[in-house]
Amino acid sequence: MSGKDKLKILQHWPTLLLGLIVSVIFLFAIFTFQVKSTESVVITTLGKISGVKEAGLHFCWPYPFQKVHRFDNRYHCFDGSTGKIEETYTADGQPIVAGIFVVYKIVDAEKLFKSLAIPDISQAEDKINSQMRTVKNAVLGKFKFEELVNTNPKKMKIDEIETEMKKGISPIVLDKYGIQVEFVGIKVLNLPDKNTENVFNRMKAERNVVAEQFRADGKSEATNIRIQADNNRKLKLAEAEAQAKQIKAEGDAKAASYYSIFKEEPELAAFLRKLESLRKIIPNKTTLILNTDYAPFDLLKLDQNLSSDKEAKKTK
Amino acid sequence: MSEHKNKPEVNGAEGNGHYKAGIDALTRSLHIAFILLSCLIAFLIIWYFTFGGYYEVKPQENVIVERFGKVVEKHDAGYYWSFPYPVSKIIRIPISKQTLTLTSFWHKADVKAIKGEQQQQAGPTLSAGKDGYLITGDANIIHTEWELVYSVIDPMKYYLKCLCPSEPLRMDEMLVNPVNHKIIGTRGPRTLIQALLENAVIKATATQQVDAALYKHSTDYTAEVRRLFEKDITDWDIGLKVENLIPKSITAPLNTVAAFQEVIDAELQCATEKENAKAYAVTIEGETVSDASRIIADAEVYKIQIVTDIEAEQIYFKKILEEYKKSPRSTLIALYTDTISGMLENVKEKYIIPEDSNGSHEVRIMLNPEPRYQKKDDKDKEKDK
Repeated sequence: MSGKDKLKILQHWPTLLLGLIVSVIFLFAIFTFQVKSTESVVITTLGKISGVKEAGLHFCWPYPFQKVHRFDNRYHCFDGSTGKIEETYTADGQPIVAGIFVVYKIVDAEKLFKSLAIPDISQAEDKINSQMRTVKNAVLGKFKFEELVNTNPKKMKIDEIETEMKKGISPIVLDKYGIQVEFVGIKVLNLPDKNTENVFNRMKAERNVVAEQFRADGKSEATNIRIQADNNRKLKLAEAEAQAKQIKAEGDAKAASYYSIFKEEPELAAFLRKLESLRKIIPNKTTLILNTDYAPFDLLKLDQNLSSDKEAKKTK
Repeated sequence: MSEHKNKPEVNGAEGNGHYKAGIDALTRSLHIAFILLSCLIAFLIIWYFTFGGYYEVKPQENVIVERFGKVVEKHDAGYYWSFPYPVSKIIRIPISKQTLTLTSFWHKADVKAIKGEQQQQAGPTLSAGKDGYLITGDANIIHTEWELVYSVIDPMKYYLKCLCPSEPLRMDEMLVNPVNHKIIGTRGPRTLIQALLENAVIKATATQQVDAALYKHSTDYTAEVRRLFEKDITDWDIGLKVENLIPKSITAPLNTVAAFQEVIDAELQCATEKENAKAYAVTIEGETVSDASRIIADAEVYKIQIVTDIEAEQIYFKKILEEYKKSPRSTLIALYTDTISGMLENVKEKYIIPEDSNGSHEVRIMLNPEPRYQKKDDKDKEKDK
């Protein structure tokens, strides 16, 4: 290339720079890939696993030489697919309908990738689902119905059931699929359809008993309250009467101390008492029949005597 | 040679001149177009690496910045710059309060009735998996509906630990059955939160008595659900905070509502009877206090009165005694006469019967001297008065 040609090329440096930038961007897009902090990536080179990459920028050969398979490594919640709510039996033969969910995360993306025909999380969940069904029925069959629901929290063993289910599912899916099950929880706890009718009938019967109990308790307690109130009244009135008697006795005792004056002339005292009694015992509308033997009506008798004396004098 | 064949036929020097002019014009046009295109690309690249990196963070969200996939920083509300995609990627995380309504334990018929799709009808049974319900500790059935309000307090933990949609502001991803295209579930943070809440509700309900959960201790029941759920959220450490958790509805199955209502009525009746009895007790107690006070007051009055009377009598007696000592007989006669006259003044009918010649008395008394019934005329006269 002659110097004239070089000069001619240099004259087009902006175009060349632009082309270079565009080329770099293009190559960057083709030969690199990013892995997010929330995922693990399995790289396959011509179909064979060639590495697992963590978060960051990585080099790769373009498709079809290398393929990038991404798996989210955060907590996934999965509540089952086929047969996620199934009827099963407790240890005491009680039929129940239960559904569970698992919270899992992918800890070994390579193992998971190897175990899947199609590298998709739904495929992995199908594998977990079959394990969930097996373990759920097996574990629930070890516990009695009263250990699932019980008004005494100490007898209720749902936490133990969940822990045992986790123990049943976790090692297998970790070993086979590289999935760590963090938690297994009960999501549905129902009864078979036909049993709900019996429960309704029992509930109604129980409610009737409770209603009757309330009514009886109401009457009984109301009666007790009334009796208690009446008794309290009697007691308090008796106490008041006793106190009143004591006060009256005090009055009488004090009054008695004044009676000594009457000892000076008992006859006069008795006479005065009689007079006082007369005043009190004869009310206004009394009809009084007396003869002339009593003063002052004896005067009437005197007058009669006087008139008889006059008549005797006249006859003389 | 073939090029010559394709060239338009021109005549001599004049034709060559036209051709050259055309080529020159085309070259100039292409050159200008190329310069414009280069400028445009240069402008876009400059814009991309400068203004293209600016972004706004709203008050109700936080932004997490990923650089080549790695989480490098978090931003609160404001205006920021970072290298644009593909160098950096911004993830917007909602931090405002979010509401999740849990209807998994609600009766399907009720849900439809609430939505106005059908009338509220009670079937003879409940269908597991379709009709949501809960089993209480005493093996009864209830329906509940819950409303959870939560917020993201640590967006970094929330994003890194909890499976989120590619845009976390969006709702959870729907899982569709490829065969019948029905929605079979969801996948995302709300799915996890809902599952944990359902688990807490089942556990709390499994220790409750039906009466307690429905009305007697529904507050304690709600508190227990919240306690269990908050413990789960804390244990999982996914950057969430429970703002509020309330039961929107707690009810007995439609089939048994009447029976439960009867219990409530009976309980009210019981309470009414007790209250009436208590009111009676209060009234009686008041009357008793009043009567007891009156009895004691009467006694006090009696005490004062009897002492006062006897004192007065003593004074009276002393004075009479002085006169009596001076002239006993005349004093007695005077007192007697005064008393008799005073007494007889008030007596309505007086009969003084003298002795007959034999010295005996004959008295005929009509008992009950006052007429029991007044004559009508007398009554009228009294009324007129």
